[in-house]
Amino acid sequence: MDLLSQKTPLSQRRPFISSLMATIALLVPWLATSVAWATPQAAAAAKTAPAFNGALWTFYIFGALTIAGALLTITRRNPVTAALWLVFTLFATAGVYLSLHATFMAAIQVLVYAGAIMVLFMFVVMMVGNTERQEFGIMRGLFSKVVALGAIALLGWRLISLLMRQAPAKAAMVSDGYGSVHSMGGVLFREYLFPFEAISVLLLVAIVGAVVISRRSTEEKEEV
Amino acid sequence: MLTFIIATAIKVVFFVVLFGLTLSAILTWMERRQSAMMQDRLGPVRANIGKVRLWGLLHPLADALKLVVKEDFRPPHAYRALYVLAPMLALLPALLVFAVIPFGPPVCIDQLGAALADVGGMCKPDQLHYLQIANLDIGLLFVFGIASLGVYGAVLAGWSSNNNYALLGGLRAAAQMLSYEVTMGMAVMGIFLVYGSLEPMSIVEQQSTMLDWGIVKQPLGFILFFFAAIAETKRAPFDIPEGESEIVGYFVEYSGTRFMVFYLGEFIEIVFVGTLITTLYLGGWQFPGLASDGFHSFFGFNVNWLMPHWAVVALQMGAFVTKVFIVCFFQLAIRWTLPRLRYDQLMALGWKGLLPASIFNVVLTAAVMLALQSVK
Repeated sequence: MDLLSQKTPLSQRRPFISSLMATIALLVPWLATSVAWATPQAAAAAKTAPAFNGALWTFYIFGALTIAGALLTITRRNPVTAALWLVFTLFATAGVYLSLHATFMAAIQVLVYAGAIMVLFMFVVMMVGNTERQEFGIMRGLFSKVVALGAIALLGWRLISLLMRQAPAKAAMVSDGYGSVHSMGGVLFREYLFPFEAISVLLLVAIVGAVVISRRSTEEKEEV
Repeated sequence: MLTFIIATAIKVVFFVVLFGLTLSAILTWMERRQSAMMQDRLGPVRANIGKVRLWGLLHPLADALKLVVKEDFRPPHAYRALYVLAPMLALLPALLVFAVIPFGPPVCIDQLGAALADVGGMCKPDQLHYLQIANLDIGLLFVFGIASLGVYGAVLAGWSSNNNYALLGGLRAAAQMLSYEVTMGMAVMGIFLVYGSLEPMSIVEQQSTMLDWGIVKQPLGFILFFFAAIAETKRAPFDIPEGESEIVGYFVEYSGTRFMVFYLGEFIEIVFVGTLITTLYLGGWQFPGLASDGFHSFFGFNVNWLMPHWAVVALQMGAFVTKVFIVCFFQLAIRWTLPRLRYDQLMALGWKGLLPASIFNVVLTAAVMLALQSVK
């Protein structure tokens, strides 16, 4: 019953306190950054716009949901639950794109990442079965701690340098139809045509490569 | 703001509740009657309130009542949170996608009695209402984005039930829906190319005569889209994820209200596919020959029948409902016409048959569009 024993006993769950601490540790610099960035703009906008800035609040809400989802993703022991929280995070990211007027990006984010790639993730997780108590070899112990510390240091440095910088006094206005399907298509197929085509060829090579590798392994099995 | 909220609430109640849910309830009865006729029996005709029998049309009500009062059984060792969440995740996308489907023409509230030749131009902007819940720039991308989330309901139901057969059904559902989603997206690309828009309202407005309908301009795309859509809704002949009569599907452990949600979700998806095919390929709310102020030509004859605005709107909404109903009827009839595909046949048809054909359709459409443009 390896496929199905997905219940985690309570004693094996990661302590609640540590994930709460991690949430606070990441939320505080994020909130500080966004307030520092947003306040002059908000003040400038308040002269003309009503006191309630809907776009700003959309950004806050979806940003907070993104961070919460990301934290839940990395703290879940059960791979299926972790994958589901990743879906939630990607969905919330689409919301952040919407608050930045990037409607096309938001739709593609949901369609490709939440709707297709994550389904494949879940598919594989279910096929592989229960990996809850599996030791990940080299990823455990000292090595993973060093890597994690390095990543945290890098992220913290970026956040602090962002905080030190002055927010621009006046935000640039986006053009009409910015982020729409029309403008995205124009940019992709006029200015960035070569990189776009190069990436699609790269993806095609990756797909063909995957097919070749999988076929070879089945042929070998048949010979045995 | 208040007007907007009230108008949206009215549209949601009318379109999703009165139209979508009611039609899917009627479809459950229709499917049972149809299967009964195919198998030479009467089917559900006996539900009644006193003397009122209505040919058995009360059966959906009786079914719902039965399922609601049934025991809500949860299998032991099921993953509780996801087991509860899965039916909701199956139903929610099916309801959300109705948001961008236009179910009628633009309506001018204060000039309902007059004959309007140009509704957009002759109406004050604050009196003009679109019979569509949300008019998004990304329109159909929203539909496909939300519809692609429907697979989570099936997959999570299969996994969280703690049943190997349910798990296998969930895996079959995931594989099938992912495979046919690609074809569905590629098939509808032809429509995007022909009408140059992702907005359903704009696509419908461009199908004003029957020769402009998507089915005429994109016959191959229509067939591919229809096949892929039936596979997406997991209906026969593509029903191996469920296979309710022989093999066992992902919702085998569900009972009572939770099962009803899965069952209802499937029929709402049928209605949704009906509305989507009507919008993209069958001219949406357009009534053949009817302009916004009446008939100027009627089956080739030149006439000049002016009609008040409200009559035009009513005729066009009636045309929409009729078209959706016909497409839904067709989807039900297919079930008893074709045998179920085996798993390998399903995958071969999807990846080796429909997908290359849909790519060919996109290339062909683009080439014809380019040729037509250079001729002009």
